[in-house]
Amino acid sequence: MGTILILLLLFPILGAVIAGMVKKGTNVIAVIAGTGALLLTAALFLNLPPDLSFRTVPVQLQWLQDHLVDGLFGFQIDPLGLIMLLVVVVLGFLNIVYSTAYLSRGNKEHPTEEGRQRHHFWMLLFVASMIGVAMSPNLFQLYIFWEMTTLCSWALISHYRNEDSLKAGFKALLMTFSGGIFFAIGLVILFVSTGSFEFSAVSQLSPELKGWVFFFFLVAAWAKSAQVPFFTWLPDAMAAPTTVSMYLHAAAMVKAGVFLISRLAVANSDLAFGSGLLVGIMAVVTMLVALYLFFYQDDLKRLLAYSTIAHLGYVFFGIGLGIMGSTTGLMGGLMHIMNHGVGKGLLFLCVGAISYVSGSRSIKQLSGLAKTSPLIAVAFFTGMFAILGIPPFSGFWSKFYLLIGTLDVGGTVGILLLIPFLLEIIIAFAWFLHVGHKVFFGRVSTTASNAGKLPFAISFALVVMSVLTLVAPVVALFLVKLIFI
Amino acid sequence: MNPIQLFIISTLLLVLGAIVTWILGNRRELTSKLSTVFFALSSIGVLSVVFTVFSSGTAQLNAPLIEVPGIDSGLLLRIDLLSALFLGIIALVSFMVALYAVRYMNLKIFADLSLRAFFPVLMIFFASVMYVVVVVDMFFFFIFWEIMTLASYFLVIFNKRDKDTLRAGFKYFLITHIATALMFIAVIIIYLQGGSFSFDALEQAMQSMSVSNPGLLHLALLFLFLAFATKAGILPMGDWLPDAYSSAPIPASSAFAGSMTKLGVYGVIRIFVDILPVSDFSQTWGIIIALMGTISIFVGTLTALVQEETKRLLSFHVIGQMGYIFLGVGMGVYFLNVQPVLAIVALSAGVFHLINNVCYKSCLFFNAGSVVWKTGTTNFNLVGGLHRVLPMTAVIAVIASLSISGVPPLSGFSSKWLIYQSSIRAAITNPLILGFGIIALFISIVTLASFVKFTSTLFYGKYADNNTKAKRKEVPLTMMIPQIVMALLSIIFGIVPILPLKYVHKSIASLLEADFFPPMQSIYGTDSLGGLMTNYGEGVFAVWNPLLLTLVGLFCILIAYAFYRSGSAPRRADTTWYCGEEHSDEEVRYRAHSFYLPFKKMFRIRIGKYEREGVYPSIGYPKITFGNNLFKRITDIDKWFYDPLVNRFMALMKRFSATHSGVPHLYLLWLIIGTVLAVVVLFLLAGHSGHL
Repeated sequence: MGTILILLLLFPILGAVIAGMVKKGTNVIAVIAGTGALLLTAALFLNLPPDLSFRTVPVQLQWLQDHLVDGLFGFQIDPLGLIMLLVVVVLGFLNIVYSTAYLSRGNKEHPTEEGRQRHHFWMLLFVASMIGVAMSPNLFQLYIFWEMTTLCSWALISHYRNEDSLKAGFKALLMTFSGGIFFAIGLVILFVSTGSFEFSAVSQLSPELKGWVFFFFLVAAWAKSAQVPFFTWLPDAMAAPTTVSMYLHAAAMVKAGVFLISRLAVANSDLAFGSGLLVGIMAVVTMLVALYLFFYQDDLKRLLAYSTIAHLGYVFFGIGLGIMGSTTGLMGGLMHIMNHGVGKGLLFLCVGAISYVSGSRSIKQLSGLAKTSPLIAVAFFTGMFAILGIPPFSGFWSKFYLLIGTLDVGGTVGILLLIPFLLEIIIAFAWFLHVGHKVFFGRVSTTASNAGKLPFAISFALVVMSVLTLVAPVVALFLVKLIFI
Repeated sequence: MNPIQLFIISTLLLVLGAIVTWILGNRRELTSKLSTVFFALSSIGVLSVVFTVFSSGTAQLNAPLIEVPGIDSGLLLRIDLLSALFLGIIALVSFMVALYAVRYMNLKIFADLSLRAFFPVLMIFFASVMYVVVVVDMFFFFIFWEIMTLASYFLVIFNKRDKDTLRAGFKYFLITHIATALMFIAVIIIYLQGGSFSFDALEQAMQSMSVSNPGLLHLALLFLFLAFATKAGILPMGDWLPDAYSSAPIPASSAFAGSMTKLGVYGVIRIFVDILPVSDFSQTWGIIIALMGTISIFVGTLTALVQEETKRLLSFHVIGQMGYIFLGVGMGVYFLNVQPVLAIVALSAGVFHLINNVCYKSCLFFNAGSVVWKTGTTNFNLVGGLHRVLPMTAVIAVIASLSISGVPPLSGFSSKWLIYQSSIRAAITNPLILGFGIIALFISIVTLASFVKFTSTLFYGKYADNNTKAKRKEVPLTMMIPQIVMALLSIIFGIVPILPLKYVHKSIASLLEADFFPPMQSIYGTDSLGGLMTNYGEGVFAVWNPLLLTLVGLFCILIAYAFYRSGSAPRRADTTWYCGEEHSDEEVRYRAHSFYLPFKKMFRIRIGKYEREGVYPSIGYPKITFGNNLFKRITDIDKWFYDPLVNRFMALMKRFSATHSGVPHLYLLWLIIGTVLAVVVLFLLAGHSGHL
């Protein structure tokens, strides 16, 4: 069991190093590394006990021995971690497959193979760091992997090395790292007061300190997950290749923030109502701000970025509801980590495919694409319905649970949270439908009429992801149920 | 095989069909034919389920097929008599639509549109429609309801090239999405009281809420009603309907009219009759349902009158006819708590009207489709005299038109007759309802008027020259059969109303306790040759004997014909006499546009700049522009906070970097200053603690 987990962490790192060094065949190595992680995850599932949890923390640090820390480094697998792990590994695999075709001369938007090796290196390293985040047994180790993801994201966002992307990479690094400082502060206070890095240690703090420590972690999570007021780095980070946007900015990295808070919320059942309210209110504010900024976007990717911001708001919203006492709401939020990852990931892949075949991401320039690229149209609408919450696609399930949670919390708070939430759901629905119509139906525009063919790897990723929008809620429901047994 | 298994297999057949036709999507003829086979098989399966249920009672699963973790909900199926009734309708309509679509969807006008967006979607649509009426768990009801909406949306936007179609699809999806969001909320409100999504639990929750929190229950019922009214096209939520129906291809419109809109009624009956406990709530909501129905009758039908397009005219009649159904059902819900015998008559009347409506409305849509097939247009003004090339269709269109207008002895009359008389009888307890009845009665005349326009401009009058494909004979058999079947049903249900009414009564009565409603024989009598003899427990109230009347009528016609023959007056065909003026036929044609001009004038409203025609409250599209307003500037945090912050910080750092000048002397100076500062600090600290 331990071997599998170590291998799962090391395999992508090894892959990263090899893929970064070889002269030829970097694509093959990267795909092998991704497949390896996928297979190891499958092996992991076969070896898990029925409650799907496993924990080993064997590694100590001598200088912290005095403080009676029982191990610092190790692995923890539980249903919550598995939600994250599955998203990271499965989407990571698809992302790597997709990127082998996307970073090529056939790409009309960026017809270059330059930097492919660099991309694979950082991407695989990133996959490893995210696996580390998902499997961390305590906040200390989580912090280390958390900052590793920040570092990788800087490199990946700056991939094209033009002015915009360098600036965006720097901005992302600065903002998420500043948030990370709050993580460190919270960690130090926690350790000094309780002598423990456990997720559940927050409960041992005095009520006043508990509020502050939670707030510090929250700030870190807000920055990482691009919430108001720290959301501005995410839209700019769209200067990255679409593979990066899909993986970092929809599926994995931005989920690290919400993952941290989910860990805390699940492990500490006695967080104050006020903390939950703060999380909930900021989530709703984020949703509305992001929603409002939808209307200004012409670049499809930026639109998706704002949508991601809003949907991470959903997850926070669910966690807030959970802290305020609604388990159903919390389940909804946690499910949304996976449900949103799949849906939004698919949308990003579609936008990547659109720019691949047509060279454009502009809503204004594109129209009638369904005629020339039907597969992208089908995949895009699937992804769209998944994030808009049309059953039976993935987003619906989490939204339904979140709505139950909101009404479950009830009272004035419930109503005040419900109304903006509903507003966001409906207006976002209208806007995405409008965009979908504009881009895919109607008269075929010149840009769309020039659309070329999709390579197999891209079609493969689109099809698999479309299927996953139906499978994800089943898996997510199964896993969240186990969290609360 | 038990009925539930058979049902599941039949619906899975449709899903399988969807997959197969999707894969073979490029072979148009083949997929069209294959889909008919799948539809036929599933319809046979479902119809046999319906017969089993009607003969041996409710069929249900004992354990849910799927259980949803975290919330108390499971996919539980139960086919009771009401479900069976609707299943029967849906099965019939689905097959007819599929049969009709085989040739219709291969028309040239659709040649560049992929049939992958039609037949597979139609199958998913009907499969989900069937599940909507058999699930007994609100959560899954909701899911299938939404899948149905999704599929129907794709059917609406089938013609993706057209801007208006896209707009209609958008409007449709958005409005129904808002409505389902409301339904969401309502269902959750009740769920949180009862702790489960099953219908039984909802019933108990409503029971307890009606005592503990009536306000909240009213809110939940309002939301539910709005959601169902939206689907049914009841005003003011039905604004999407005319656009969506007229944008969808004819078989899809016909499918919507025959199944989806009717599910709004199913929902209302399920919630307000079956689940909501009989109480004051039924009374209040009954009146509201009936009122909204009456408004729809009025507005929908009057607006239909002035339409100049076949599909639009029919769509507005959908609204009007749904109004009749809602009126009947609303009265029924109202009387549940007052006078059950009246309640069941009104409810049966509503549902009976629904069945009749399915028959003649699908038939009329098919007629319109035949006109498209022949002439390629849905515009009344461009065609005329089509009875020469579509003789059979013309006859059928007349039958269906007379039926929808409520002309005896056709089916539309028998159900309207029940609605009218229950409203008249209701006047004793509530005069308001009499008002509803009177409006319904008079609007029936407007219906007739608009169908005079429909049939006379399309099929009669002079044959229009610009019918481009006029050479072709009558529409092919696969398009003819559905029309004939529907027209025949309209006639049969008119002449022998007791036949369908028997099943309707049975299924409604089964929703409540066994002895809540009086038995059927005591209400409708037994010996009236398939006619009706209503008796509300105080002697015979009204009698309708269509068979006798039809025979008498036929006899009279026979006599008239005998007179005509015996007179043996000569007939000669000649050109029309235009009072000696020389006109071409085209010039003097009485076009649809000219019909009912006074009506158009009467309902023209003009207030200042605002001007509109008709009574229909359509929602316009507000043009919203997003400028660089205050909120945008506030949310642009980069601009007013982060960028200045970083810039200042950078400027500060620049100043620091000025110290790194590369001049050794300067570095020495920093060293000395630093040392001095350190000493001072240490000294001060030491002074406090007293050491050193």
